[in-house]
Amino acid sequence: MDRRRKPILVVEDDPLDREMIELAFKRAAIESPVVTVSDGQEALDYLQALGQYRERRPEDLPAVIVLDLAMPRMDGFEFLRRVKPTPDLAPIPVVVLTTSEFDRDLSQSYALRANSCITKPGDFERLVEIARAVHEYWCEINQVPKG
Amino acid sequence: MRFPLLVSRLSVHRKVVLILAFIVLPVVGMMVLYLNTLRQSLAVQEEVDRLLEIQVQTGSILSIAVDIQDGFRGFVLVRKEKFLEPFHTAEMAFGPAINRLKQMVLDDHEQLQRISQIEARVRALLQRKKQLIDAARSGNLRPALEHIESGEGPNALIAIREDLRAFENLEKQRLNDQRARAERFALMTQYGLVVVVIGILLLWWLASRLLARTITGPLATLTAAAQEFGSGRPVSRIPVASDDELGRLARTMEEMQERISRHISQMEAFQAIGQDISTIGPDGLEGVLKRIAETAGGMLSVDLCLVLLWDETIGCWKVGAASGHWHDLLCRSVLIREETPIAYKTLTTGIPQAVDDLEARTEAVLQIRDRLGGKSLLAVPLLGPKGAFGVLALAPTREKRVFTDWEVRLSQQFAVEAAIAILNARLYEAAQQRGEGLQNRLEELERYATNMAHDLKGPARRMGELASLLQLDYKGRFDERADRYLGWIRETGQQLMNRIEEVLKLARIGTVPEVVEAVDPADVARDVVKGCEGLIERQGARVRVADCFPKLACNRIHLFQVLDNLVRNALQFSVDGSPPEVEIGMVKRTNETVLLVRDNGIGIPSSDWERIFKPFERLGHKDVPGTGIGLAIVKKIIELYQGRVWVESEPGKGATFFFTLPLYGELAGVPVRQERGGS
Repeated sequence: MDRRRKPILVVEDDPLDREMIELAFKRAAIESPVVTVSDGQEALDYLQALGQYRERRPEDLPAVIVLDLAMPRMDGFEFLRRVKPTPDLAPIPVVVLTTSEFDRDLSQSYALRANSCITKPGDFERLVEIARAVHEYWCEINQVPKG
Repeated sequence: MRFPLLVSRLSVHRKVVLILAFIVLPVVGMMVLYLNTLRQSLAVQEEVDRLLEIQVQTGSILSIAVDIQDGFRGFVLVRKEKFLEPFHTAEMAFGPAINRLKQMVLDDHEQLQRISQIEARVRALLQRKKQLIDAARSGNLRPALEHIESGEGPNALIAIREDLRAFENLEKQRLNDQRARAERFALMTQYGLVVVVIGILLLWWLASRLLARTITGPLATLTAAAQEFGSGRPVSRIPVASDDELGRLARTMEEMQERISRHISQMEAFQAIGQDISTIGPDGLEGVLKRIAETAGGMLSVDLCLVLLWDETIGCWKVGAASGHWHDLLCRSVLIREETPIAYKTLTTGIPQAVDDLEARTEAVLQIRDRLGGKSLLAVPLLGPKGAFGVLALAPTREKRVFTDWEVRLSQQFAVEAAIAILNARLYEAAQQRGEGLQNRLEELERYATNMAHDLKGPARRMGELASLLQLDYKGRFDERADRYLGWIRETGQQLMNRIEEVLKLARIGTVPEVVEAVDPADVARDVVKGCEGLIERQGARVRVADCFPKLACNRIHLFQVLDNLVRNALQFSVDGSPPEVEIGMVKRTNETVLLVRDNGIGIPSSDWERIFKPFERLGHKDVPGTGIGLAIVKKIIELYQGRVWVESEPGKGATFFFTLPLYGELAGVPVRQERGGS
């Protein structure tokens, strides 16, 4: 299956941000579907096809995960801690998209094997550019195991 | 010269007597000699007088004998009674004369015999003459005449004269002997005088030597030793070896010096102890109390020392600390007032109490005696500003002990130091607890502010994002004014975000431990200039970086933030129409290296030199972009390293910002933070 068709999983607790990010991907004229979940736990359920995502098709494993850090229930760090040691899920690129500019947050994200960190820009046009770039790099340029 | 041991053992009094005797004895001897000579010469005089008297008497006896002879002859020849007158006078005078002579030679047997012989001769003569006279009176003249013719009378006279002469000669002989003896004595006295004078001189010299050796010498030594000691140099051995009062004085002085030296060293040790116990370590008040108990016990060699603290609220003692193994047993336990009356008396009176024998006390219960086995007790008050707050109890448990005045005083002095140490430690702990509370509240507040700022950032960002979304999606559907407003909203959101980010940066400084490394300011300055390239180009500015800097010991990002903020600040506040010129350099002051960022901008009035380092103080330059927090960040970073930052400026002539950071050399080899107890 074409990797460009695989969904982009957006993990974001703020509904407005969720909508913005989704919209940005659309504005960037990206065909891939955008799946949005509201916290780490839900994202994990999606990846492991559990709970409400029991019906998820195997081919709908996301091409890239866009992850917020500060979230209720399960935050971004905990999510990384769960996903990255799992061999099946580890290759899925995780792009951390956060408001925080704390070095500590960035360092911790990378330590937990996040693939990329981006600060939320505060400007929609810039957000569209970021969405385009993320898709281009992580879904087209970057190589992951085919299996 | 060494005097015999005997002399050195004599007392000073006997020595003085001996020395005086040395001088007095020859004088007395000489006087005796002189008196003897005088006596001899008087005896000679007496002898001469006697001899004269004897001569007179012998003369008169001879003339008596002659008178007898002559009277007899005259009577016989003339036969007139008148001629017998001298005869009778002589007869009368003879008895007393001869007795007188006898008296004068009463002790001399030989002479007495001679006189008796003379007396017999004269009496015989007298007897014969009387017989003849009587015969003649009766008319028988013949025997008388025959007698005259026979020359018997003159012969007897001659015999008497001879006897008298012999007697006289013997007396003369005696006089001469006496005279010779007197002369010998006179000569002896002369020689004796010379000898005595020489002897006196010799003895004088000897006496002075003896005096010097036994009295003045030791006195000088003692004086010197006293002076030495007075000027702080105790002499362990005073070289006065005699057994007299001076020797004893020397020993007493030695003992006194030793005792004073011991007291001084005790005082010094005590002072060191005072400093030692008052040091507040990580163990706080408890450690101070424990050290007091240990050192007080050690100082007076007492095995049990208790620090008793009076608790006003419960009216009981609390054991603050105890020496040795007693500590774990007794620390923090409570002692009842009624069972510790001696300590309580010390507390109430503020006067030390010393009990030599606890067994002898009549109290039914004494905790220190009955429970802890104390044999004696010295209780010293711990005095605070409001009277005694505790007692230092020293109780030897092995044997009874009499505490000397000095020991009581020493322990009292120690208690003063101990009390100060305890009060200080209490104060310190209270302050620390208060400080910790304050610190916790401050940290909480900071966390709260950070969280709030963080929470604010999201809505600000979204405001910008929404405005730009509206502008993008609804282009052409708004009129120009609405479009402009949207632009403002978008910008305002952006500004708000930036400002919040700066606030967060400011709040974050110092909360995260950063790596301190050797940083070359020139490197960092070049990075800063590179980062500001856009701004520099727009302003037409020139930024000059000095070539040579000493390496600094700080976090690289921190130095970057400092220089970046200062350079941006310098570029922004330029004088209209003239391109900014910025210099990043360094000056060496007497004992520090100061980095500087100089500009030719509008300058800062001196009234604002302090204010500009406070957050959000922009001095009314609303037209200049910026968050107003840059210099606050600079200040906070510099102060993190205990450095200083300040500005010097003249309005219209630019400003120079100075700051100091630790030089790498200063910190080389010194660990920045030391962990306790780690290995």
